Amino acid sequence: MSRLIGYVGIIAIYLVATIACQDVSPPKPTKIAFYHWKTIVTQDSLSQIFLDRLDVQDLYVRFFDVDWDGGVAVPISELEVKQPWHQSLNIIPTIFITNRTLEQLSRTEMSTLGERIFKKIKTIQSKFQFNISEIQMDCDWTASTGMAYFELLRGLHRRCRNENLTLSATIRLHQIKYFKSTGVPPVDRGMLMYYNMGRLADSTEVNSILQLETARAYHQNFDRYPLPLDVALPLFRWGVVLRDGKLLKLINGLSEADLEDHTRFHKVGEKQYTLRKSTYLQGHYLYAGDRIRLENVEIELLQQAVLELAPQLQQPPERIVFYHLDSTMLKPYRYEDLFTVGHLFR
Amino acid sequence: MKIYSLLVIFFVSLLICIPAQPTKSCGPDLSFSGYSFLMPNIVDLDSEWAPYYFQFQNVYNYYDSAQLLQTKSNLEEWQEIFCQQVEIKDLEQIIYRSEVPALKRLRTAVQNEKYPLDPRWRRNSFALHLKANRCLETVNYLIFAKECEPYVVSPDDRWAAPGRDANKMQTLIEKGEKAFRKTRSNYIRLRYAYQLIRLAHYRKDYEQTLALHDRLLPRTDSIESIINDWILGHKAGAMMRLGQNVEASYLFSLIFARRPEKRHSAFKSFYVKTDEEWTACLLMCQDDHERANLYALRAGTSTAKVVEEMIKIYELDSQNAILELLLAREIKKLERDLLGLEFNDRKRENKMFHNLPRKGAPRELIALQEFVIRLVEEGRVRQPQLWQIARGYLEFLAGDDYAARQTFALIKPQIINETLKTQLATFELALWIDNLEDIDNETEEEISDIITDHPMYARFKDFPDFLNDRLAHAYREQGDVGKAFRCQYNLKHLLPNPDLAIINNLLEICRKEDKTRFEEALVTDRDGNSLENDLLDAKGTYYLARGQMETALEVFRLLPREAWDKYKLNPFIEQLNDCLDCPLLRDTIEYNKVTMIQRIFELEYRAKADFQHGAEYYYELGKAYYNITYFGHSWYVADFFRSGANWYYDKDNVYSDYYAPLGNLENHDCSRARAYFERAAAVAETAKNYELAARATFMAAKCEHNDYYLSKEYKWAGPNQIPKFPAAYQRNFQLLRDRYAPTAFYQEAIAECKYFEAFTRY
Repeated sequence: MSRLIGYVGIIAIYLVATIACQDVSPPKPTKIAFYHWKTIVTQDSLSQIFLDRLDVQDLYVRFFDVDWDGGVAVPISELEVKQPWHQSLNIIPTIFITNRTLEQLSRTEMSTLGERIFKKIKTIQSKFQFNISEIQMDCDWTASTGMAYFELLRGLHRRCRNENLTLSATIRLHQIKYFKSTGVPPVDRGMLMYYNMGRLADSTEVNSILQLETARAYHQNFDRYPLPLDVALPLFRWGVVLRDGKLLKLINGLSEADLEDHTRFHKVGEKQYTLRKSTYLQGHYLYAGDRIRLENVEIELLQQAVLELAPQLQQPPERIVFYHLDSTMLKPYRYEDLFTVGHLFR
Repeated sequence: MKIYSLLVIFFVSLLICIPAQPTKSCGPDLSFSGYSFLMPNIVDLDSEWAPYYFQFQNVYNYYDSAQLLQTKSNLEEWQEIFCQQVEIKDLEQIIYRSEVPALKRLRTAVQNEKYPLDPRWRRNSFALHLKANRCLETVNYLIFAKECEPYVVSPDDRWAAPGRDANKMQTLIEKGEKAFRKTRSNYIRLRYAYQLIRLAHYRKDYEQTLALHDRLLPRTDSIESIINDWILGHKAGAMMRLGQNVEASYLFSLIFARRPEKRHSAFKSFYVKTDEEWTACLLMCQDDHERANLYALRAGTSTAKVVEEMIKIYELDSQNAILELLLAREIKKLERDLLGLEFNDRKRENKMFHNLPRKGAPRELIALQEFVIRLVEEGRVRQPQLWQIARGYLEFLAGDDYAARQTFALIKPQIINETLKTQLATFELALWIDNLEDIDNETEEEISDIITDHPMYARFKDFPDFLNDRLAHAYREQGDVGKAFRCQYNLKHLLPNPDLAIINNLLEICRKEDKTRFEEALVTDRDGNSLENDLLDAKGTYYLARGQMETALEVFRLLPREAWDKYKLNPFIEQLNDCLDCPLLRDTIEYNKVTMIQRIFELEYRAKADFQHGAEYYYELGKAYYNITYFGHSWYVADFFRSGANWYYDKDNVYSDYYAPLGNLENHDCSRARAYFERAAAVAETAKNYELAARATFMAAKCEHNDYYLSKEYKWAGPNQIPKFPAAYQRNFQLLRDRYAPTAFYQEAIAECKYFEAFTRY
């Protein structure tokens, strides 16, 4: 009996010690960050206000894309800095790689590509004197390119570890729900891209950027997903041009104000227009009869989306990242509202 | 039976059971499948306009070809400057394959009569010419151009940072400007101007680019040279960067029209934002030809409504050659939409994967027809006969074959041009094929003649497919299902799900005495052998799979004796755990399909006649019937094709597979086998042969389980999990457990079968 009491005592002490030693500090507050997805860096006052007022410390900057061109993987659309950001900003180089590049390269060639990407990032970093502590890879990998992409990530991860850098990767919604079949990228963190979830090319779609109903269908397996997740949210709008019910092109940043000329545009429904006559619209020549569907993300929709997403996450994200930093895109939003969106995760 | 063994069967079957595929790849071919009869050279598609015609789709190749074109144009101009006295290859060696030190040695040699040429260049006509004529200015320019190269040419390794040092570039500009001033040759001064303007452009100093342009060009006399347009390109680029996109776009339109080697970059750079800018751009044009080129640029985009732009081009410049290119491009698009739509066997895939035909295609066709008719009637175009032929072809695409025939007949006697003659003959043949219906012996002879003798048939790769698809449709309409099938497929495509009507139709042709040449081809394989035996085998197997053994035997007996031994088989070998690739116990007896059926008949007779051993005979019959099903090791006796994936519920057991146009019928039915096993168990029970009764009960249980896998009720239990069989599918397991536990076989079953082992425990 006394032995039993002894065992129970030891177990009790162990449990107390274990619980006492656990980190009981509250999770870190979610920080607000932005994506910069333009090739040329210039400063505008509105973007600067959002950066300042939202106390943005991290900026995910597209350094370059990797594409297949002329039989080789090459960097394209490399970043150009005309007016630099403030030195205190922590820059996270973000590299988009196309599936067609991954389709073309063998597994062994992935390590060379990873090395080239890493070196290129370092060259750009030193050229513009950026502070970097993380690198992010962006790819909408498929069943046929997943293996190659993960191989590339493995090589980059090793390289990042050697230099104390975090490696993150973008994750699409379906890659969480079906993570067992799509796989989990071998990186430190994931960035959930919480947008572009609808059927863009479908003429009956209302808003392909953010659809709560569609999103809900993917609210599965977040509790089992093995990577810590940050969240990217949409702050953009576009016009979807359709002809004969088929997607023709996207016109970025298009708003109702651009379609006010009744001699050219005929409003046929909520955010739906047809062209009365052939015309140029923001550099795109469209023809009489073409349809335009405007898509954007109202702040209320964004807030509702976050309210529904937040309980799915195992822990609040370290960062929410708005896509993207551009004065035209930011115009319809108040920084206070974005601040509130950030708080909904906390 | 373990679930993983089924998985093993599945994967192994995939490897060993699928025979040669109808497509070369290991999956379905999802690329667009249609026909085209437009000749590439009808509108000079092999010309420098080809990339425009193809909408620069193959841009990667185009970049290379544009670079080659630029090099070629440059070398030809140098050759022209030197009055054709130097060879292109020699120019290329010095201009493109030399380095600065070698060029400096060349300069020394040019300056100093006694100093010899570099040994590599002693026979180089360009080097010899430069030395003989003491062309110092040219050599100095070449050295300068070579010094500029690192700053204006992309590095071979595109991962390397471009070495564009703005200060060094500025120093070069200053050095070049001095050289420009000192140079007397007008042509070399123009080339210096080009180098300096390009340097400033790549230095991203756009004001300087324009300033250099305005300062240097007035100091060179007007001279005809490609360099003028190259300079214009840099000027336009700088203007675009400075926000003067209307002026810039106008300049790009000029370059687009004049310079093949710069066409793609000019097309890409052309940028108009608003209707006002477009109007302003039109106002800058000097004449209607230039205005027409602006519309041609707009027509070149992938989202253009081309006919609308063609009308504008025509109204401004009816002789513009671009109209022909755009016509050809539109016809190509419409061919994909409409040609052979009624009978294209890949119609469904084209719709599903390529969204073809496009919804707007009929409207586009009508618009193009209207336009073409107008042009034909007005007769102001460059090649009226080309448009007349196009009119007929569009009528054909619109389904108005009568009008097409009339149009072709009308134009035919007038055509002299060989290319147009060939094109017309091609369209006429396509029209003839498209009109095939009610095919009789005479038509079949005509078809044979076309296949063997018609020059257009051999020349256009799409004719065989077009003809086969059309014929298949026509034969199907008239009830000749065998001929219809053979027009599109080989016999191996029939075997996954043999169709009796097709087989009988083809057998009928095989036996016909007065076959047409075409019929002869339909019932002959590639090696020239008759398909009759293979068809009889397929027919017999069809009956065998359905348990109609007497009929099967009757059909197999029609085969010559030596053909019986095509298959060596023994479905009487027992196998408790289903496994397709496990080595079987070797039996000395080997059967063919005929002797196997005879053995089955013998066993059936004995089972009834010999009560003492009846159970054994019934058991033998059960094994045979089981083993020739999808699940047994001798599945190939009653089937030609088996996919390891096809064991899930399907209404009629026909599974769609890309290699099987009629689907793949799997021989899943275990009911005959089960009936014999249960009969064997009952007779053995009566004869107190409990070991055999237990064994037969176990085999009957396997049949029950297979029925469950194929039922709607089946639910996958997860990897390595034993499925939960509903009670209705467990009757024989229950009987085995309750009645035959004392038998030795009972223990054997527990050891062999995890399912049964689990069943006895729970």
